Amino acid sequence: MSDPRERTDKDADFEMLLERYLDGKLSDEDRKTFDEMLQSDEVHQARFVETLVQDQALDESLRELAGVDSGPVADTATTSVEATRPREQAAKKGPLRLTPWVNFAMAAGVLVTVGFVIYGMRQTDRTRDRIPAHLTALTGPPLEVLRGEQTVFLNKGDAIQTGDKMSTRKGQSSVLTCADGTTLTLKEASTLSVSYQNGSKHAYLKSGEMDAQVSKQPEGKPMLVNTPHAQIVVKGTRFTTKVEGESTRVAVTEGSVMMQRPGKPGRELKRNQAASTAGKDELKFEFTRPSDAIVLFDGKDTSAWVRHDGHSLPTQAQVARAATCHFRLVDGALEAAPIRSAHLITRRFFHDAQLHLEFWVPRESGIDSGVWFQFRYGVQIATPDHPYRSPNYYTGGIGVKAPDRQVTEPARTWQAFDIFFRSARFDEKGRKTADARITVFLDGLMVQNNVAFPGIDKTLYQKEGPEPGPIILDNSHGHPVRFRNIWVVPGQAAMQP
Amino acid sequence: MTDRDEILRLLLKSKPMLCAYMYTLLENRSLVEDAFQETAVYVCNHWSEFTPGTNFKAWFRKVAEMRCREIFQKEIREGKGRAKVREHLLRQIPDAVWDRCGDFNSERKDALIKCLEGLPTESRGLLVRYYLKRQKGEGIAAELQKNVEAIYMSLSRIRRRLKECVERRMQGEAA
Repeated sequence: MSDPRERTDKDADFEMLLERYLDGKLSDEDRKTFDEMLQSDEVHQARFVETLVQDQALDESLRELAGVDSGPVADTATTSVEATRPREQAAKKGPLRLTPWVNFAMAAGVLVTVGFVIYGMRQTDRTRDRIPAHLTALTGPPLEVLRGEQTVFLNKGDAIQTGDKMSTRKGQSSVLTCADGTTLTLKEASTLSVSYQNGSKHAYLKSGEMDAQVSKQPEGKPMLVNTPHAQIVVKGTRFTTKVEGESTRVAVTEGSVMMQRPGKPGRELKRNQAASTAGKDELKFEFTRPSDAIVLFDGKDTSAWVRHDGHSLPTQAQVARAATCHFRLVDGALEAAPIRSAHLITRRFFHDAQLHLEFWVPRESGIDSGVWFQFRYGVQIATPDHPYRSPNYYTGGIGVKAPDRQVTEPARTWQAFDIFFRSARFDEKGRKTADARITVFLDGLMVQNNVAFPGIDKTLYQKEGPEPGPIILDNSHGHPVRFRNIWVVPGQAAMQP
Repeated sequence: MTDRDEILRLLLKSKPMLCAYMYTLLENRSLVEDAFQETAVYVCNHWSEFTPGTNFKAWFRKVAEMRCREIFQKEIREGKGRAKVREHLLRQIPDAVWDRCGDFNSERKDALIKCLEGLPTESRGLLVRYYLKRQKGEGIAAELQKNVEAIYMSLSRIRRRLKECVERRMQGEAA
């Protein structure tokens, strides 16, 4: 009726293709024809949209009708959520059974945790919603829980229901344990809603902080943790989520999660990685210190370091006799001593290593420093007026290659390096079989991706070889660069983030 | 009524249009249902991102499209490959057509239900097989010992008949 023109053969063909399309049976050739028909013809476009929309409405309406239909499908296709039909339809249609979505329409107006409650509205899930989760630990007064429109107070041992929204007070914490052993530890002054959908756990951390230890979830049914700023997809892992003001931070201690900002591509966070949302930007990524890391500098203790003058690899015996740390301790950081070529090196020697260090540059120009491995390979810390005038010597540069991007921060801002260094490999005759390689993150952004060093850095002297060496804070020029929070994981270089 | 309630009301109102839109991307009814749930969750959590006064349908479509892409990625990751994400088809249809022809409000739906009730048993049986039992054209044809083209023809005729019936009822109500 809405087609203003007469039906032609072409229209009949189109209708037939449309049917095939809806049935998912369009062949490649059909698809081409169908595409062409749609492209050129506004009437077809309108017919396409109208038919698709009606198709969806039909699907839904038939489901609603099936509730009163005594036909053969009534048992398979209906939900049996007993509820009153909203609006005027109730009066017209009598005791219809509802689809979840009609029910949702009703719920939307009254429930606070709508986003999750809608999942609980499916009848098939209702039974699963009884999968027990219990409050297994609680400090302070009974836990305040918003259940539907009512506020209830739960004690240790009480069951949690789907859609429950619980709020801890200041100084209070609670632990929820699910049937599969998953525990959610809600820290003080936090608000969390929980629900299930088809056996998939959903949690919404509105504010505060939560530690999660998630048992391995069934295949295809990851647990979803939402915050106002991000979504975290969890298959089984340990992590902490913290919602603070306008930001959410997730730190993973075991396994991996997928974290994403609304509408942005997700990022997988593995063990000892963390990310936080900041404003409308992408995720800010960081590496957290693994439990097996060696702390080289914690703000006080300088015993892991010795002074070494010159640019060649010392022997272990030389290191044992070397002078103690000569860098100055300033505000919990090590400040390079104003003595040229008096480097600070680790007592311990390393082969492959993951290194984290934070650095601070005192001024906008005239700074040349960095971190070296084995007196062979280096990563630059420098202002852009570096004498070589090459981006290869900008901060994050490695001599043979410039950083992939410039992460510029004003002087006197702390920045972080996370470096994955893989030593060169040699055969038993001392011939090199593989170049040394390096991956560098500057402030969580990758600036060198598994780049090979064809040989030693041109500012260094130690010839390539299989011997391990120290990690060196370059002090060639005595520039007062500061370093802090330095830790290393030996043998960690193979880890590709 | 809060803004969020209003947005959720609009979302539900736009459901048939959104599901149709997502169908063009995913070409799978079950996945479309999932995608709509995800869209609803997103809208519930991020309703404040919507700028009042702008085209809410376009915003919903954008959100829905992102969910479809996520589902598509997930399908690929899990090696199921049920989703298609057919960009091409979607690009053929201008936004304006979706806005103009995508409306299917509750009055229309009430009319559709009335029209469905008035269908001959045979037609209704066909729809039940096709929609509720999610049978494919071929399967139905085999069961009814008919040609699949004949099934498509019947479905097409029923759709047209329902559409006309809905239009008639709507006009009747308006009169």
